[in-house]
Amino acid sequence: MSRSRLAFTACAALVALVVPACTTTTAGGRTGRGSGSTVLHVGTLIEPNTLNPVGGTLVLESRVANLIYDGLIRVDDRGQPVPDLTTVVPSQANGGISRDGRTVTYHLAPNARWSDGTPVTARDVIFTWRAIMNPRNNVTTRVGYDQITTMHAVGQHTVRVNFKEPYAPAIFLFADETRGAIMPEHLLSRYADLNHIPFNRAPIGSGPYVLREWRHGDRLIFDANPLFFRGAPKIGRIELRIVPDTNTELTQLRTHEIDATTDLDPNQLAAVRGIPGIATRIVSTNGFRHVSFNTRRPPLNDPNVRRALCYAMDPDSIYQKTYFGVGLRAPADQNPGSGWADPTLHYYPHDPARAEAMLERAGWIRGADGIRTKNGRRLSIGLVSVTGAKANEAIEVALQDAWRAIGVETTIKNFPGTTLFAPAAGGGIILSGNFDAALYSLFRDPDPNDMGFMGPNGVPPNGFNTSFYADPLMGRLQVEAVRTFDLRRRHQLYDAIQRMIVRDVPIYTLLWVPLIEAYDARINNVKPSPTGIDFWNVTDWRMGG
Amino acid sequence: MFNYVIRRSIQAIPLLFLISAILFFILSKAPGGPLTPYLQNPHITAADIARLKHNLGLDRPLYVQYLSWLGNVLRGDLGYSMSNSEPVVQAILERLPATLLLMGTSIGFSLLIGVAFGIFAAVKPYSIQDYLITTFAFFGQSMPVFWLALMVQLAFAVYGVTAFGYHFALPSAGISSSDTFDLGDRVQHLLLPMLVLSFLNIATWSRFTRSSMLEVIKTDYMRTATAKGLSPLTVILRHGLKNALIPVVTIVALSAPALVAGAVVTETIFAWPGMGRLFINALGQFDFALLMGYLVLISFLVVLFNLLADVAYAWLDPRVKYD
Repeated sequence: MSRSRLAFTACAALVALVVPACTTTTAGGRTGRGSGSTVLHVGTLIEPNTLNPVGGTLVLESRVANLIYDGLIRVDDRGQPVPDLTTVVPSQANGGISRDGRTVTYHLAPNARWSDGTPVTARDVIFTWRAIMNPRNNVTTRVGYDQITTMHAVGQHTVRVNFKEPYAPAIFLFADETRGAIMPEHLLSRYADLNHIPFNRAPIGSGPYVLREWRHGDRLIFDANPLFFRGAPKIGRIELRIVPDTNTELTQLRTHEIDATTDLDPNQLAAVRGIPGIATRIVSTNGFRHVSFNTRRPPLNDPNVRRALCYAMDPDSIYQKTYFGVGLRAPADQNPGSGWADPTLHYYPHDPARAEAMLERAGWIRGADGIRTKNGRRLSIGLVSVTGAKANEAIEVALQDAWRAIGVETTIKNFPGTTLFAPAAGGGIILSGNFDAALYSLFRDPDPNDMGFMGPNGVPPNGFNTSFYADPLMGRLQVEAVRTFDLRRRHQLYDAIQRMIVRDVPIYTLLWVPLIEAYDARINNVKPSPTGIDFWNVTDWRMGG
Repeated sequence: MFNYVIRRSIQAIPLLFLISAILFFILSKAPGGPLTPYLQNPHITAADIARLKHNLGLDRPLYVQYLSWLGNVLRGDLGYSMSNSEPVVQAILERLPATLLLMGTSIGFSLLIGVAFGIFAAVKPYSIQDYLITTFAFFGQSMPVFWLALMVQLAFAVYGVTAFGYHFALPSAGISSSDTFDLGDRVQHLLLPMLVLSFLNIATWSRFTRSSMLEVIKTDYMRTATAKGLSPLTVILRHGLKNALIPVVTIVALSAPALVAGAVVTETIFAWPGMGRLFINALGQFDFALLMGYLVLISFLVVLFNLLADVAYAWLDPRVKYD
């Protein structure tokens, strides 16, 4: 008896402890608290693995790097390079790029400092390149940086970069978005490799914010860097709260436990728009959700069968049903938000009759069960994607229906990302070509160069060209396009490449993955970049009335 | 008894080696393996893959990789967690307190309520109170955790309760509101995930207690105790409960590794920085060293608590003897 009474008393005590405290949690505005400095709570679904961009693998890590570090350039809201540590973006017009296109010269802002007070110099830039090229460092890719032959410091604040051959994408090197944030030589040069060093979780950068604390699984706390060379940011503190569930993120926006997030689902848009004091933005990223057709394997090695599949699809209906009409669209591999997509290109119109006629002409005749056959072989294709992504599943079913209507049987098989994207030697489905059609999103660098995943140079194992499409003409156009700095010529070349993609459909881009971003409406000047990074101009953010 | 514990402990050693070897081989043979995080970059080349393989020691024969891993583990080095940028031991120690707090309070609370419910139901079988508790138990067992979690977030965090002129609302997720520790704040953050987690356990454990209590109530020694003139409460709690708890102890001991393993779904929805999320994130990123460390630790605990359950069984029930 005495025991049960004790238990009851304990419960009552617990309630008494909690309830009075409850009343304090509902106050909405947590900004402007304390000494007048502003705290911004930003929700994020995932957590960085590392804060050292040299070993980074995630887009989020580039986003966080934007707070801690500076590149030589950064990428603005139109996808264009603007100065970061460099005082001016080099071009042939301003003499920053030599006439022969092999030398690029950067002038560093003379007042830039690391957050420990040491000046940022040309030596740091050279060290960064060496770190990326150091074979002992676990760097994912050195594309672009491997085109550099030598780098020289000319005085403290000028660095000259020499390339093997003229290399137009050079302009986007040494940016957070291309994993080239400038690293502090004076702190890192003593290590043989940067893979497992304490710096990776307690970094020192030159960027607008300094990391105060990283509580794994919970939050990263950043304070405004008083030494930042363009002036300390107005928002005194940014807390990145790790909220690994989109529904919880929505709830926390409602309760104002977080002020912003960039990774909501399209189907949450209506709900977010209903929250007072929260403004939404839709940003088209450099990620394109597409179907990769395996052009090496029958039956999709026949371009007419691929075209027939395109005519069978209704791109508008898929877009509305699965993405609620949110996000930009362009059928090839250039982002309409970056200015490189050929605006004259269109999707194949929804024309099932034409699709059927094309298949008839190619010799595929409908059988008794409605599925076409040719020489005893059924027109059956295997469609693969990543498990657990609801948007993918909805698209897969829409494609299956559309193709069934023209007599094509589709078998859907989904795999975990780790299996789907594994290297061929590790039994990976896509890179070993063990599929007919693959639905997934690919995130590309800001430069229009697409050699890594399109055309003959990117065919696995040398790249991520998962359609295995290897037209030699495309390869020649791509090589010329990375060798020329003439913007008009580059546009012509990439337009021609996009026309080949739409003509031969090695890939069919459904849409450019949109980021559904929500911010407290009082924050001004947020201008997210198509690289998926909203912090590129974080120093201009301020709290309005 | 002592000999029995020693013998079982010695048997557990080869078992754990076997488990670790099987885990190591399965994880290594998973497509992509430890290279997975690097492979989704569209610009990666064959030369990049070969270089990364060499750096991570993946170009050595599998048994060499296993032996080198085992050697390090025996020296207390579980390796480096790629997804946390710190040693695996440190990553686990960072997450352990949050999980112990959540799972500990939840298991304690569930045990208290679950056993009480079970007794109430058993004392008067097929009465209103029994039917109410049974209905609750079936509801609790069949409710998906993610749905329940969303509902309590909506009810207690978004809408809240207005009473006595005050508006009560709990935080929807996370472990703290401010950057500094505050006990009241911590308890508020703990309440919702703790309750959601307890729901299923209360349902299950109350059913076990009820059925085992029902059997005990019918026994002769219970009738004897009542005949001696003891109060009904003493009969139920002192003579009934101790015997009725025997199967419950086994069930609870077998769920005890969850104290350390955490709860993946609840921790994810409530953004609780515990071990369950450490594991699920490691799985998504294929953080090989962390996956191995976590799985071997949990395997060890499963073996340990199985042994403890057997020992507790003998201790509670003098009829059970080991030798």
